[in-house]
Amino acid sequence: MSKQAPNIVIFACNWDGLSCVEAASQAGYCYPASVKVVRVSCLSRIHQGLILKAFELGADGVILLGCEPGNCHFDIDAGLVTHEYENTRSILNLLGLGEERLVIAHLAHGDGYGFMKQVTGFITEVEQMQPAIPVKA
Amino acid sequence: MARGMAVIGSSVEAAQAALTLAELGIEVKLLTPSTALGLENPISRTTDTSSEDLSRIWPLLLRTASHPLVTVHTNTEVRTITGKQGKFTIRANRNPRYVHTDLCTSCGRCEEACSVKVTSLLDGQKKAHSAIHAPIPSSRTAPSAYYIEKGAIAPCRAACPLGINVQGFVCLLSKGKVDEALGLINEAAPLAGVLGRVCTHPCEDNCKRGEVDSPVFIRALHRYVADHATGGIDYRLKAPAGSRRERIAIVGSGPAGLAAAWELARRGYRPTIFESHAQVGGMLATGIPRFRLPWEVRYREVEAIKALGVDIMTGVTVGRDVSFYDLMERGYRAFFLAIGAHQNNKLNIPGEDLEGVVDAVSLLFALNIHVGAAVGLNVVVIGGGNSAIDSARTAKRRSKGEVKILYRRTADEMTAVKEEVEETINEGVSIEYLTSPVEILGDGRKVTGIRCQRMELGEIEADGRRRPEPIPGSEFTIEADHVVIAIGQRPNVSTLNAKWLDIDDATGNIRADPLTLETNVPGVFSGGDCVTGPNNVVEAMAAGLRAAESIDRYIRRRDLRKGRSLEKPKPVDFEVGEKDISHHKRARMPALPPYKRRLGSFEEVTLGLPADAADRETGRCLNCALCSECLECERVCELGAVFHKDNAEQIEIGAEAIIDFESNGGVSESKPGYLARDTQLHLTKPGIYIVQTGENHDLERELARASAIALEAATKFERKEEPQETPYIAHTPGADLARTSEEKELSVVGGERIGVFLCRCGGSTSSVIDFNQVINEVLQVPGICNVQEISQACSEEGANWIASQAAEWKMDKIVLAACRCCGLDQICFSCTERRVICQENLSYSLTPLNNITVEFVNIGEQCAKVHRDHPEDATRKAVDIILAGVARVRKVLPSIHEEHPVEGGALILGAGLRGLSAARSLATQGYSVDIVSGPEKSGGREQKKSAYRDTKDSLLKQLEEQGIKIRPWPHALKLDGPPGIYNAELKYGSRTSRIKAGTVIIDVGEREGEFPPDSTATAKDNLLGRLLAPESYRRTTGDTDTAKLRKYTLKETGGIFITSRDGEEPPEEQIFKGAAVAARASAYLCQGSVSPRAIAVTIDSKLCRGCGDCAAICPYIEMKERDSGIACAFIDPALCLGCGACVARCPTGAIAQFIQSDEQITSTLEALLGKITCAAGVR
Repeated sequence: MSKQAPNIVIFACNWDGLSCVEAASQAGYCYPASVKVVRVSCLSRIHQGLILKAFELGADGVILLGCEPGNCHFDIDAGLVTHEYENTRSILNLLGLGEERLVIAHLAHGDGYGFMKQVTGFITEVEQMQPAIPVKA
Repeated sequence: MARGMAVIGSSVEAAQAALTLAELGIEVKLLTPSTALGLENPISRTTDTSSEDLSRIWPLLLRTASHPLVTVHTNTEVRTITGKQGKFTIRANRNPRYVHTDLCTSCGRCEEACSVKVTSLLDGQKKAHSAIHAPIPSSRTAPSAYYIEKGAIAPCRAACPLGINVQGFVCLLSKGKVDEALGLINEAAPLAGVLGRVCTHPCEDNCKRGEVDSPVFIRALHRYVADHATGGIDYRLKAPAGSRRERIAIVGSGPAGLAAAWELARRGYRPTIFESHAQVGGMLATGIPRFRLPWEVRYREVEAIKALGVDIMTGVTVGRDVSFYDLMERGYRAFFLAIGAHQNNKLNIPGEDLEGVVDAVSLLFALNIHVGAAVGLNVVVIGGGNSAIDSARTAKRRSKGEVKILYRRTADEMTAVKEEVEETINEGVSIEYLTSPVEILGDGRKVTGIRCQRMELGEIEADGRRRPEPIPGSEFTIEADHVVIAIGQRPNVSTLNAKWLDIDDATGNIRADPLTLETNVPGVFSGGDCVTGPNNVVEAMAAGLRAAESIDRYIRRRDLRKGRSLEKPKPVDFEVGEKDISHHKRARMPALPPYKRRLGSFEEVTLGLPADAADRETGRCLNCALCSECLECERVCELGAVFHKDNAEQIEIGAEAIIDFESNGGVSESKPGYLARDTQLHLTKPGIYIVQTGENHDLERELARASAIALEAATKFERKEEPQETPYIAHTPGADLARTSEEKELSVVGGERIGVFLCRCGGSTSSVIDFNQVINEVLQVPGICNVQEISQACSEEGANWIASQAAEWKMDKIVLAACRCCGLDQICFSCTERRVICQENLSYSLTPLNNITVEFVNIGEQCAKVHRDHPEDATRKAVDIILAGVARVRKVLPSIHEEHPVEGGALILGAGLRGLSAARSLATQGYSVDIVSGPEKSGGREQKKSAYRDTKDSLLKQLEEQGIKIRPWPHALKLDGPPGIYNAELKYGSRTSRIKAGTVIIDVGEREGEFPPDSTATAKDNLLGRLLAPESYRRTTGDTDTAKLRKYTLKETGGIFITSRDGEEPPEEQIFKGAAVAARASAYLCQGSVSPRAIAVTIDSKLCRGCGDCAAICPYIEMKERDSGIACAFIDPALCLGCGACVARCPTGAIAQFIQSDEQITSTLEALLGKITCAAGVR
């Protein structure tokens, strides 16, 4: 990893989301250490405050990693998370960070390869973006 | 004494049955022929259940394997079942796994060390993995312990007369482990440098690679190992040197004598070798020319053998200089005669006694030892064996003229090693095939020529070669001034002066038992060329080793024959044709260019393989035997979990009843004690249930059936056995390990003594992460009292050690950096067997120490494993991850430990087949059951005759016999109360009935019932109303495939079970699905008590402003009215599943989650994004 590698925060739901992270590790994949996984019980636990906090603390991009629609462990309506996601994206636009710094990924259970694809693809995208405008001095 | 029940099977269903029984408090032995649960095939290659399904129900397997009442016997094949109900004896074969399931932590170090690569078909894809691997390579299993795939031994190893582990040393060499390779060779035999040069390599002749292109160049690799080992020759002893005082005399220092001396010395003897020549080595010194076997190589090997405590007396001929009698007088207790065959056979043709006619042995001896011996200008060597070839090549180096070989057969029949024949020709020696001498011509004194005749090959002789027959009239004469006769040798026994020794008159060989090598005189053994006639080095050494074994037995007065055989081990069955093997050229041995092999030069001809060629050559090995037994895995395992000596064993297991999923394939016929079976669930004799898997493998259906069967078996089992009425309380390790005995307790956190433990995971994490750096940095954090590393935190010892350190350092909080990623008592899809064991052991060890909070962080799968390509980054990140853990452990909120008792029986809402079947099962177990049929559908009761109707009527009848009545759906139904003590209020007009229940089953699939009930029938002021309200109905009844399986995989804490909505399922299927629900409900009732999840939320009524946002998304939250009239949200923590959606939505922060509070998530972000530094401390 180069020192400039973008900081990516992944909020991973404990169920299918984290299972993909585990599967990637078991399958022997490697990814840069600048990818930070934060485990939460469910993506519905995440609100815009926490996502913005990640950006404030220096994240260059955030991935919400959760179950495929209909597979939520808690049977939470997918719309709930989507709503929060859309809202946060518009705030990111307002702040000048750009909505594309926040993505949501719904992966099938234990899809280590899909996780790697998502992560490496997102890193490339974030690298091509303009540097994030510091929100806070 | 038989106790508990046995479940036989490798399928997921077998695991489900075992878990069901265990949750009902029954001790279960789960016997599976495979290496882990859920794998159908013992070799773990293919699974009936797809790996996708396996991962979907992964927590179920994990819960089964880690349940304290379940003992899993893997690699166990049931042979017979005898006895009767209540007292069965199962006899089974436990096949070797070579890895202790209890000790292995699946850290993967052995896999890294293993150099064998096997390709398996996994889920239709070819995957390469090591011979030692997890039951499913690079995937999780329960148990997670590794497994070694071993076939029989490799053909090369089987062919080696010395039993050298050829595949093993080639494997080690492929990993660059030259010293280890030499060690492995020297386990079997000495003289590696000699064998690597002159061995006739039966290994290569049997190499399977030869069927693809050409054999692996094993001899060259053998030599490479001998020449490049850095540690020198270090023979390992089997017994302390000099521990045996008996004296042993070995006559002859050739390969047989040296090998015998070596083996005897390793066994603690100090044998003496008597050698008549001045040089040690027998034929190695006098027969094999120096340009093939340099003297230095021989010296080195001989010195190493001497160093073991072998005395070598040169220039002493036993029988002439010292008699056997003298030696016996001097205390020699046993003799090994290994005098070789040094007397040449004669051609028996005229002219053999002319001057200039010599024999090969004398010529080689003379030219090898005495440098100045003269050689003619026209040398003719007669013969086709190794000594003929060696004579010709040696003579060529001494002669300024021609050297020619006469051989009476063709090149194919030559007994000399092919490569050497090629070299001979390269060096300018010509070979006349199909030519035989008739007479040696001379001038009366000296030889002048040879009269020869041409031959042709005729009939096949006894030795398999075609007999050469003279062609009449083909005679011709060639010139010669020096004739070497090299047509074989015989032993020269006369020098021994031992008339008592039995000699074969025809051959002149000493007669010895082929197996024990004992001669006609007890205590006198003989082997090598003097017994077999001229043979090769490797066979002679093998005889030496065999003699040493016999002598050792003779001295210890043990049976010389017992357990020994001359039979070669059976090699593995390896079909080259079935494999897809790409061609690779065999390495070429670099050799001196011919101009350097000129007159007078005795420089070694072959130069040995260079490193890169040797490396490539090791890659050509096909590893036919899978595991090569190089034992590297045993060496690297820090836990001693690998043991190659594991043997198959017979085990006996007692059981009171048996559920068998295994005899599906017809195995049962071979098991006496079984009777035939024909239906899906067949009680073959009381106490044995044989389950056949359905044709269409619908996983959910199979799981349901397995639990239904287990419940039925359990019911019968308990009835007969008069169950002890102490329900087993499943040991659920506390999320917060600070659990105290008091029922309700707030453990307020506020200390400042945090201990950090780093798990090396057997070296797998510490090989990437620099632990010293992590320790140094983390130690700087204020409040950290100690940072220590531990080899295996998940082991029992590890947990005890952590506990002892925690006590010694007075820690109040612990951060364990290992592979667990949470401290919750849930088993989720990401969990592994070791993580569960880790939590259990730690929970157990820390319990006596009050109020220690533990936070787990994962530095394995989330750090070392995925950043192993950048160790520095991984070390940096490990520090961050630990700091995040430290930050979180400081912010753990006070948690409530509240236990609800589980009381009473079951309330069943909805009288479909599933509901009624569940009711019947529960009632049979003795639980009180109340049934309320569902709200009536328009159209009402189905009248026409159908299978459904018949089944339902029969169920109703049975329930009536059990005294259970069915109530109609009331005008109003309220269900409330904490889980385990539910309270239902049923209003029928003015009349109200109350029902108390520990568990509630809702059969929403009732055909005549109307689910969800219309909103007038239910109100949101109670739990049931909220669950069945149209907006949450779909969610709570979750009918997706995932949701259906989830019921089996995860543990239920709420105690409300909702059946499938599918009304069209065949009646018999609905019946067992109902029973499966009953099984889960029974397990719930069996617990005795239930406490909320650690991740459950609480709502602070003082902060709640009553907006109802939380209640809108969660049916478990109720909006209650306060005295002031303002609404307030309320939840029973035991009902909360812990998703945290309400926390995210609460505008006032009234809802708190003990784990993952906003503050904790923020701290985690701060640490991971490098905003917390060690020196500055954690906020």
